[in-house]
Amino acid sequence: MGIGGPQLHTGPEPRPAGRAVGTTRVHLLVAILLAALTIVAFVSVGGHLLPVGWLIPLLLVLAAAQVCMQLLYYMRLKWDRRIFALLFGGGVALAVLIVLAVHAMLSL
Amino acid sequence: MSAPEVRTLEATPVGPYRLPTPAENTKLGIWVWLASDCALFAALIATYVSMHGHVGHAPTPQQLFDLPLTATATFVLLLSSLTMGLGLEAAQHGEHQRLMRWLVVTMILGLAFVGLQAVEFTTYVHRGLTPDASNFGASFFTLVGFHGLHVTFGVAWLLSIFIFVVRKGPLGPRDLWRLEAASLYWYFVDVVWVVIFTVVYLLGKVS
Repeated sequence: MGIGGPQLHTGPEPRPAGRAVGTTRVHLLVAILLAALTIVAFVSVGGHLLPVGWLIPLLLVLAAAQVCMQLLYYMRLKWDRRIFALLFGGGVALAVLIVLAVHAMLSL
Repeated sequence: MSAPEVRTLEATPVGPYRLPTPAENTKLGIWVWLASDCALFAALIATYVSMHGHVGHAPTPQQLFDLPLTATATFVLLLSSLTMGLGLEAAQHGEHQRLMRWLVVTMILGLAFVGLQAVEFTTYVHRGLTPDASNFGASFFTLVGFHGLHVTFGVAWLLSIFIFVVRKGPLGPRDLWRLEAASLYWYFVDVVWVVIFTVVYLLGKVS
């Protein structure tokens, strides 16, 4: 416990603003993967390759993978303070609750 | 008589602890804002999901959606995320000219996305889908249009940084947070589009 001051930051030393974490290689790799997943989703729907029962979960999984990649590597949550991930996770949890509530309300 | 001590907002050591810097505070604020924006988009997406079957006499999503056009817009936005990242990386390495080039490319791609969205909206209106034609039309234009406004705001934000750099010179370590905050917003807009593309367009064609 520290003496002589308020406990303002107890986590690890944060990444200083502006310090490079993502390299060109990482950016390119993520961009290629995102494009590939988008192509898979587009072809799956346009080409009627799968029955609807399989297609809907596949599309949702592909979208979730894309969102996670962008959050972790582009938005740098992989390297940044955990508080940011927790904050955004809270926002997403709230978003899911809102989706369920609004959908339930409007489906009555 | 000695001058009074002036305390700045820089990282100040307090025992083993430290106060957050303005850059860290800004970043925290941006994340809180993005989290709340997430909830806002959730409400619009939920409304769309509940209303997309209420088409009345207007065209249905299956009849209407032009997937190649929307997929093109999606690739444009994905590419803009890459160029934004490359611009941020250039700024972190102090490569001023490269940053400016990537900022311009990102803004052009953002405007191209908005332009494609305008083409899409115009096409749909000519085919009979207007915001007041059906519940589907109202919820569709509100959701996708709201996202388009976000992209437009993002372009304006990047333009303000571009002008800042032109007027004040290269971004130093103390100003990089401006670009980092704008990049977080830009990526968030891209993340939301991935969800909209899947839920509205792809699932709209399937279901």
